[in-house]
Amino acid sequence: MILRSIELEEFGKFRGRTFELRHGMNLVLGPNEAGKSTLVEAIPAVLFGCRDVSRLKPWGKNACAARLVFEGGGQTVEVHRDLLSDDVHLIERDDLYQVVTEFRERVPLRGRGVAAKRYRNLLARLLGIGDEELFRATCFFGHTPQEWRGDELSRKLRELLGGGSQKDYEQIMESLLEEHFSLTRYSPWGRDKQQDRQLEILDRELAERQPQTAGEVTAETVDPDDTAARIRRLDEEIARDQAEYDKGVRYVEQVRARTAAQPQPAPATTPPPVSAASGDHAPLPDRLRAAGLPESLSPQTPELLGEAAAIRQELAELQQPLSRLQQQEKGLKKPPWLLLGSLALLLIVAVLAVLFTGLPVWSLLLPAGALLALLGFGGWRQWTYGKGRSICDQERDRLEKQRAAALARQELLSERCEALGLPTAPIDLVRLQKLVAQHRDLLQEFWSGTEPAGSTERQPEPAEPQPSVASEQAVDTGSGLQAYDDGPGDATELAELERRLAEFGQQLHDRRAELARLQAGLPSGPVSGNTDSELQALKVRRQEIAVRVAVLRQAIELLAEAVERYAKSDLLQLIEDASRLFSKVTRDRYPEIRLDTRMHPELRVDDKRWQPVECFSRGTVDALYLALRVALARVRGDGRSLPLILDDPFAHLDQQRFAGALNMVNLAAVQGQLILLSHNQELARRAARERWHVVALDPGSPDQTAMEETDHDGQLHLL
Amino acid sequence: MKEMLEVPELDELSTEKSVRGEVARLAEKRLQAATPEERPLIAAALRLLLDRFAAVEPDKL
Repeated sequence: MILRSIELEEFGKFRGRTFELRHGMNLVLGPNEAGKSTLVEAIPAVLFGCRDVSRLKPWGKNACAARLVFEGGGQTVEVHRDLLSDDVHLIERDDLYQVVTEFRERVPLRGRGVAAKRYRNLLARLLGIGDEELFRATCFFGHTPQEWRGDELSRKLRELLGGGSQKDYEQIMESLLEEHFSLTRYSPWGRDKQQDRQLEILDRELAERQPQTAGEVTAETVDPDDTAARIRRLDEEIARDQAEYDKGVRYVEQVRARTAAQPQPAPATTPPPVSAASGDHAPLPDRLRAAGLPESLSPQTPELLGEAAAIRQELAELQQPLSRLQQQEKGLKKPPWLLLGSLALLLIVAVLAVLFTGLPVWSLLLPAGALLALLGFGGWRQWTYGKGRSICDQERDRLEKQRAAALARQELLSERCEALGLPTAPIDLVRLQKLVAQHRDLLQEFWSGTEPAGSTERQPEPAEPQPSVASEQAVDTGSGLQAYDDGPGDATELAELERRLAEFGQQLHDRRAELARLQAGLPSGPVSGNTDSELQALKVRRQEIAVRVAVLRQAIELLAEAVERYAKSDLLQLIEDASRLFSKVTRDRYPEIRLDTRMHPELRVDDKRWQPVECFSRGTVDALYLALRVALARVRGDGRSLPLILDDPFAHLDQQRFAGALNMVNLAAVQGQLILLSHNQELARRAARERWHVVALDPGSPDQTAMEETDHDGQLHLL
Repeated sequence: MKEMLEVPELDELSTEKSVRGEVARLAEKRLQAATPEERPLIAAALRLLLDRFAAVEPDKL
């Protein structure tokens, strides 16, 4: 798409003028004050708005408006803006001149409303750029070109390089991630989600069902010996449960009797009945609460607490040998090498002195012997120190290993405690152990008080660990009953006790039925067929979800890598093209440029160092940004780009660079549209030679009516 | 390879200068290096991505 015409209704010094432009190079030629810059400022002003309208408003007029017409690919896009009111009218027409899109809204330069966003999206779709800053950084080269710096501009440039697919990619990636995290909470790319998703829920459900099924399958497939063992085990469990149940029945009877007796007022003179059950025992939950104890504890708690105490004891016992070892290590003395060395030095000096004073040689025997004795002493001390040190190190290693093993066990224990909802800190465990002891005492005391007179049955130990599931259930039920052992009780509590007792009775009944089935050699599980089919369906569903998650992960990784490669390939292409162009302009003085992660350019100097662009002269900076703009226009090449607008880009270039830069922009114009503004008469001669389209601005007659020029008009005017 | 991916227009896609083209090129490359067990997964991932691209840009497929 090219800019076909600029119609300036009331704009700066122009009124009612139309400038036609062509594909390729367009040279806007005119002396100073002819209105060249005003003419090209109309492009960003119409497309995006203007910061300072008073600069562009004609003198003495209360109007400022212009129109741009773009053509390409059978499409026509007209954008008209009243710069005073910022009313924009955009019309997109197809090749039959039918209106495809029409937009008419007020869109100021810094507009943030819905209309402004819609308009910018429209511009981006039709012309490739919907942002003024990006336009000035990529398509526009003024007297001080917009440099590539700042996070926001860097982001926009990267998006522009990624092409229009960037937004599509984001949308697709978002939809893929959304679907992935609706299926599983686990993320291979970062932090997992908090809540379980479909896959984890299914896994949990399967895990819950698997043991049951496994149990059923085992029951069906085990050999007779195993079945006999299971029958024996079940029989024992039933016997235990039956004892618990009988005890519960007796207790419920007792509570029922008390509840029945409660409404009858006791005579004032009659002393309270002295019985173990209703005597001076306060309600158990109250007593437990008063002691700061929970009403029921997990059966594993005493075992865990016992283990914790053993570990604490072990750690405490390790402290003593460790401190003894520390003392021992402190007691080890290194040989006083400094002192021995000094003495040896003194002796050597003495020997030398003896030699120089001419004393007989035999007199050297004494100092030599002393020296040897010193060395021997030092060696012996060193040997004893090394030996003691080695023994201490071995001992320390052994103790440290023991300590590490104890700490590891403590860590495991902490995890188990945490799983049961118990505290993990050692001090809390000590406190809990004391509480458990109190708990047991209170329960025993209470049970001894609530047992019927003359009962010879064993006292329950609710908090003791039991090996079988059935026993645990029985204990839990017992604990549940105990929670309501609060003396007189009322009808609600009695009903609750009866309900629990009935449930426990039903469980006992089921267990008996199971035993009967096993004894009769019948397969267990009344609805095993249904369970199997449900389980199979769950497994199939899980498999489907797992496959979908794998496909989604593969797709997400594929897309992310493709986008990265795509952006990188464009970026590399841009750098390569810009380096080549810039090298030509500077006649190989700067053979290479690079862009850092923020798209900020740097130049390689002396084949070694990289210098940021700010370190160079204005002429070099201008040539670099010109090369970058030309290279970017070439790399994009998506047909949606605006023309390259160069307002006197060679002002700071010397003669050699001017020639190189001119060749560069001339070549760039072949592939698209380029509008070059200059007052340089050399360019006029070049234009005639190269058959560029020339728009000549005459400073003397700015208000002439619209002028249609042809290529030949432009050439002839110059000639 | 094209038949394995069940994307008849893969040749055309692979030459396209876009993210979609890059996806197609990358999938082809991965497919060549993949084991027989991994190939259906990659093919499914590519089909999924192309469907999503088509939903975003219906005129391109």
